[in-house]
Amino acid sequence: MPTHLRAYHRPSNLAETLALIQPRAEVVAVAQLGPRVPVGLYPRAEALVDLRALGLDRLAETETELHLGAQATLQALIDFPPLRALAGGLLPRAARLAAHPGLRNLATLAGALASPDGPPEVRLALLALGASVVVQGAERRRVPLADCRPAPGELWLELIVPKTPPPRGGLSRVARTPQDQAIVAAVAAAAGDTLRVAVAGASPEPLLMTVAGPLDEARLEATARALMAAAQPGDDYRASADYRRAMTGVLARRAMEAVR
Amino acid sequence: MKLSFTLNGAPVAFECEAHETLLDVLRRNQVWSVKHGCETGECGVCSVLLDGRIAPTCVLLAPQAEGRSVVTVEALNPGQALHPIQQAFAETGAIQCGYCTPAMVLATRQLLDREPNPSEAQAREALSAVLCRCTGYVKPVEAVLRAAARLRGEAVPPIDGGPLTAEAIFGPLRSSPGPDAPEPGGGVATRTRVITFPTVDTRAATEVVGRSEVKVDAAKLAKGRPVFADDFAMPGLLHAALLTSPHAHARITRIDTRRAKALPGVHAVLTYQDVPRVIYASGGQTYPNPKPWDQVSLDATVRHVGDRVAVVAAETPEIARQALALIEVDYEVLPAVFTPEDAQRPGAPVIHPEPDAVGIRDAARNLAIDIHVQVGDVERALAESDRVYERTYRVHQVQQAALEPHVVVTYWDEDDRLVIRTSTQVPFHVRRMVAPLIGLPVKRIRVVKPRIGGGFGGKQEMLIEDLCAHLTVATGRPVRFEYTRELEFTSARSRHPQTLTFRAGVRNDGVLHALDLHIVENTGAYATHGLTVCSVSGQRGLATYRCPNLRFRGDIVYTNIPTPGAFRGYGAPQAEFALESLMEEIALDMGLDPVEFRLKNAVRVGDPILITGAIGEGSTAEVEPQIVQTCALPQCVEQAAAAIHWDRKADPAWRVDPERPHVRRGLGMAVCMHGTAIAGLDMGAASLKLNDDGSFNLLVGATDLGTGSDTVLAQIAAETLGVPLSDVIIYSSDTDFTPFDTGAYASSTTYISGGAVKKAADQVRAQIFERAALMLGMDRRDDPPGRLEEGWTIRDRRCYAPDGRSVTLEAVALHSLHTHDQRQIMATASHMSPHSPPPFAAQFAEVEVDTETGQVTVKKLVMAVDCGTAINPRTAQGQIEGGLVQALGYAVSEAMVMDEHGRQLATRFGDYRIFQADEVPEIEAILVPTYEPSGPFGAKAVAEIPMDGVAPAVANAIAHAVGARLRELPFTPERVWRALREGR
Repeated sequence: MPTHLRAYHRPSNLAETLALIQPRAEVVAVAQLGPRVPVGLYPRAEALVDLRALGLDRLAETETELHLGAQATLQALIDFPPLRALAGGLLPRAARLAAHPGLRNLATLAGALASPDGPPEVRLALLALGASVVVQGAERRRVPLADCRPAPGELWLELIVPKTPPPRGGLSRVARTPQDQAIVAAVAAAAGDTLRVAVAGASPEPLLMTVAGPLDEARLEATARALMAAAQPGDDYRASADYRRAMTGVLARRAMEAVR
Repeated sequence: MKLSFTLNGAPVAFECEAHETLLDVLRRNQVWSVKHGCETGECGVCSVLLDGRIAPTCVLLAPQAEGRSVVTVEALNPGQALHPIQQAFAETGAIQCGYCTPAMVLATRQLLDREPNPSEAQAREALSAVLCRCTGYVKPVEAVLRAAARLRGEAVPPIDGGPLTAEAIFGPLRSSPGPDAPEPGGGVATRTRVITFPTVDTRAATEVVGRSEVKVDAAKLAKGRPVFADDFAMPGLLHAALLTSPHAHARITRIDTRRAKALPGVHAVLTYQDVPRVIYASGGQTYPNPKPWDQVSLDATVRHVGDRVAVVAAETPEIARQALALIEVDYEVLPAVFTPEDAQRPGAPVIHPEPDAVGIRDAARNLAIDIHVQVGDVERALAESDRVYERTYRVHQVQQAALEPHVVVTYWDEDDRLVIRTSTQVPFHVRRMVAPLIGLPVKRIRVVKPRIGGGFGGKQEMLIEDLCAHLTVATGRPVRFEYTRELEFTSARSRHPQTLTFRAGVRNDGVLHALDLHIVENTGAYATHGLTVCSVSGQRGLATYRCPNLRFRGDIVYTNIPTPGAFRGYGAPQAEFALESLMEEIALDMGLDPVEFRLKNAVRVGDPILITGAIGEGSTAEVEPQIVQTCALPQCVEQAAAAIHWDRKADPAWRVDPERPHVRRGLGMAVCMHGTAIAGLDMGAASLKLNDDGSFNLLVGATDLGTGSDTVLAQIAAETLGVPLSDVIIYSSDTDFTPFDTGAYASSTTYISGGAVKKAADQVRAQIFERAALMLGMDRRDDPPGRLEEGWTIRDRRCYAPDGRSVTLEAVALHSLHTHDQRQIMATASHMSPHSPPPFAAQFAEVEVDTETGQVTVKKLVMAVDCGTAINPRTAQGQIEGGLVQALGYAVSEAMVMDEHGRQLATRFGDYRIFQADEVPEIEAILVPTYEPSGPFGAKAVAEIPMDGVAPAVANAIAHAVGARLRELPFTPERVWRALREGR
C-alpha cells in the first residue's frame, strides 16, 4: 500500500485536474496503473488524483486516425474493433503481452507508457505506427510520441494513431516464457514506403528507426545493422549486453521481414 | 473516509483510509474469499469482478471502488448449493489447495458471461488472470469447459464411472491425439488428456478406493469459505512486521528501538536483546532435529540480506511498517560469500563462529556437515571399467512460491495456553520446536492447522511462528504475522543450489559398473534441511540404476544467500537432472539407444537399493535393506513413448519447420525413481469413532496442503469400513484434538498416514462386528482375534452376519453408546513403515529451439507414473500435472537471482516467472498402477516424482534438437544461445 498517501481527489473537470497536479511541496500522483505495478503502488505519493470522471477513456475512429483515450484500459484496446483491423492487430497483440487479463482491466494506455521498466510492446507498437500524443499543459498540443515525455503538471489526454496509408505490422520478441516480459522486443510497421522499427531491451530508451524506400534485402540488413550499432544495452539478470545487442539485430530483422 | 459501492448486488458503506487497498477493506470486513497473494497484482488471487471485469484488488485503492460494482465468489452461492462453475471446479479436481479457486471461478464467470461456448484457448486466457501453483491448469481448463457446457444446458459426461475401468472413464486407450490434431473449440474436451491404464496387478474390486471421488473439502474451497489461517477475525488483534537485514553479512553494533516503541499504536519491538538465546534448527523434522543447530530467534549477527533483525507488533499493519522505519540500527558490515567455492577459500569470512552452535562439522571452513558413503569399491571399479565418464552439472536456487504466503496468528486462550493458528505442513513439529524458544512447555501450546494455501515444502519449516509467539508473549495480545511476497523471496526458504560431479564407469556391453557422485551443496545462512536434502540427492542420484560400486560424498557449505530448505522433490530434482543428463550423454557417446541403455541398467523387482541403507536421511535409526517390490518402469516408458509419438525422433523431416527455418524440434526423456516416506522414521496416527447415526469422525494429524490427502485418507477409511465416503467426516489437524503425525513431507501421507487410517478402520470394523454379534445374540467376545470377522460384511450402511441377518450401523452405534454395555466404538492406530517403496516414472518432453535466439519452447510433456494404486486417480493426476508445470519452471524460467551484494533481484511474480494458464505446454499424465504390498490398498507415493524428470528430459530434447548439451539450469534463452555459439 502507498505508505505516504493521505489525500484522494476526484476532480470533475480538466481545469480542476490540472490545478491539482501542478508541482508543489506535496507529492501528487495521478491514479493510473501500468501493467507493471510498482511495489508500494504509488510509493511516494501523498495525494492521488482520480481521473475517472474526465472521460479520458474514449476510443474513437475517424477516416484517417484512431483516437485512443489515455485512460483507456489495455483490455479496452484489445476489444476495440478498429484496432484489431489495424496493422494485423498489432496494438491488441502488444497489449496482450503486457499483462494478464485482470491487470489489463486496470492498467491504462497512459499508465503503460509511463512505466519505463514495464513490458515494452505497447510503446513499441505505437512508436512504429507513428502515434502522437495530445498533451494538456498550459495549452493543448500534439506531439509525436517519439518526442514526448511525461512532464510535471501536464496530462496526456489521448494517443492518435494514423490509419492511412494502411500499415502492416510485425512483432518479434524473446523471453523466458511465451507471456513473460520480453528481454528484447522489436516491432515494425510499414505504411506506404515508410518503415518504422522500434526495439526495446537494447538501450535505456526504445530505439526507433525510420527508413523510406523499398524494403529489399539490403535495406533490411542495413537497418538491422544500424540498430545494433545504435544499441547501448546494459546487463541484468535476464540477459547480458552482448546478448541484447545480438538479439537487436535478429529480432528487428524478423519484425521487418513480417511487413515486407 | 467513507467508501460506498455495491458488493454482490447490495449497497455497502465502509470506512477506509486513502492509502488502503480494496483488498484490505474487503478482508477487514470479512469478505474472506478475496485472498492476499502479492502486492503487485501479478498473482490475481485477490481478484474480484469490478464492474463485471476481473481485476486484482491489491493494486486498486479502496477509494477507486467508489460507486462501482464489486462481485466476489460469495455472490455465486447465497444458499448451500454450488453454482455450476463451482460444481465443475469441484468435480474435475480443479481445486487443490483452493487458495486461487475463488478468483479462478470469477474469471470463469466473466468469460462465460460473454462467451457461452468458449474454446480451450479462450478458457486458458481467462484463467491466466490467476496464478495457480498446484494444478498446472489442466483441470481448471477442463472445469471451465465443463461449466460452459452445463450452463448451455448440455449433458456432461460423468467424471467417475465407477471402480477403475479406464475405457469407461477416459475412452479408448492410447487415444492421445496426434501432434497435428487441431485444437478443439467448445465442448468439454481439452487438448490435454489423462489416461489411467488398468491395474497391472488385479486385486479385489474396491468401492471407494480407486475412484475419483470429489475432494471432501472441494465445496467449501469453491465457495471461498473462511478456511485458511488468515481468514480469522479476533478482537484486539495486533499486526506484526519484520525488519530485515540490508546486508548479506553484518554484526549489529547498535540497535535503538525507543523511537519505534514511542510511536502511538506500537505494542512491542523485539530484538536480540529482548528474547532468550536458544539454539535450534528451523527445519520441520522428526526429533531430534538433524544437526547442525545454528539459529536463534533473533541474533546480533545477520547472515543474508533478508535475515531477521527486529519484529514489531502494532495496532495496524501501517503503524507496524512505520515503526520498522523508526528502528535505528548500526551495522559493522562483514565480508560476504555467496558460493561454496568462495566460502571454502582460505581466509573466507566465517559465517557461524558463535560458540553455542551445535554440530557444525568445521565452522572455520564454513562446512556445515559432510557425508561420505561407499558401497563396494568405486576406485577399483572405475579402473576396471572400459569407459569412464566425468561430468559436472549445476543447479540453481528456486522458490516454492505458494500463493498463500507464510501466515500465522497467535493468541492466549481462556486457559492461558498459547494457540498458534498457522499455515504449516508440520503442526506437531512446530509445537515441539517453538516451545523452548518461547519458554513454554509443550502442554501450554496448541497448534491449529487450518487449510493450507500451498506449501510445496516451504511450510515444512518453523519459519515465523516463533516470532509471532514472542510478540504475543510480550504483549498479551493476539498477533497476526503475514509475509509479503517480497519476504517470501528474501526471508523464506527455497531449493538448494548444488554442483554435482558424477564419475561413471561403464563396460563395453553397456552395463554400469561404478557410480561416484560428489555434491557440493549451498545451504546458505543456516543449515536447516541442508543435511537431509543432500542425503536425498545422494540417494536419488545413486538408486535408479543397478550398480555394484557406489560412492557418495556431500559437502554442505554455509554461504550468505537466503537459506534453502525443503522444496517438493527435496534433493531429487537436482540429482536426477544430473543423473539423467549423464545417462543420455553416456548412451550417445557409446552409440547406444538411450532408452534401452537406461532400461538395461534400471533397477527392477527384487533388486536391493544399496545406497538407501548406506545414506539414511538424517536418522540415527537403523534402516532395513530396501528391496524393490513393485516396478512398472518399462511399462511407463512404453506408454509415455507412445503418447509423445517417440517415433518422430528418428524422422529428420520432423525436426525442421520450413516455415520457420530458425526452429529445430527435439524429443527427450528421462526416467525417475523417488521414495515413499522415510523408512523407519515417519509416523502417522489416526483416530476413528462411530457416531450415533452410523457416520464416522476421522481425526488425523496429517496435513493436507492441497494435495487431496484428506480425501484419500477418508477414502481409505470408507473402503475399509464398507461405507460411502460421505459417511466419513475427516478433520486435520490440531495438536489438541488429533493424534500425532510427522506432517506433510517426504511423499508420506498416503502411505504412512493412510496405513494408520487403515489400521484404525480395521479395529473399528472389528468392534462393529463384535457389537452387532452381541445385538444379534451371537456374543463371541471370547473368540480368538480375527475369528469374529470371518463372514461378516458391512454394506449399504448395514452390518451383515455370516447367516445373513443384519443390523444398521446406526443401530450398532445407538446400542453401543446408549443401550447396553455402553462404550464408544473407536480406535486410534499408528503406522510406521520400515520400507520406502519407490514410485517410478518415465518423463518425455517435446521442445522447439530457436537457433537464433536460444529460446526454448516446451510443446508437450508426458509423464507415466507407477505410483502403486492411485487411491483417487483424479487427485493423483492433479499431483502429476501440477508438479510437471512447477518442474518446467525449474527447467526454463524460475530463478532466484541476486546482485553482487547479495540482494535478491526477483522479488515479485513476473520477475520470478512461474507459468500462467495460457502458456503451459500440452500435458499428459498417465497412471500405470502396480500393487505395492506394503502400502494401503497397494499405494505408493505420487506427490514429488513429477518434479524430477522435466529438466533432464528437456535438456535431452534440446540436445536432440540442436546438439547443444546444457549442464546448468535454467535453460534461459541466453544460456542456450551461448551453448549454440560455442558449439557445445
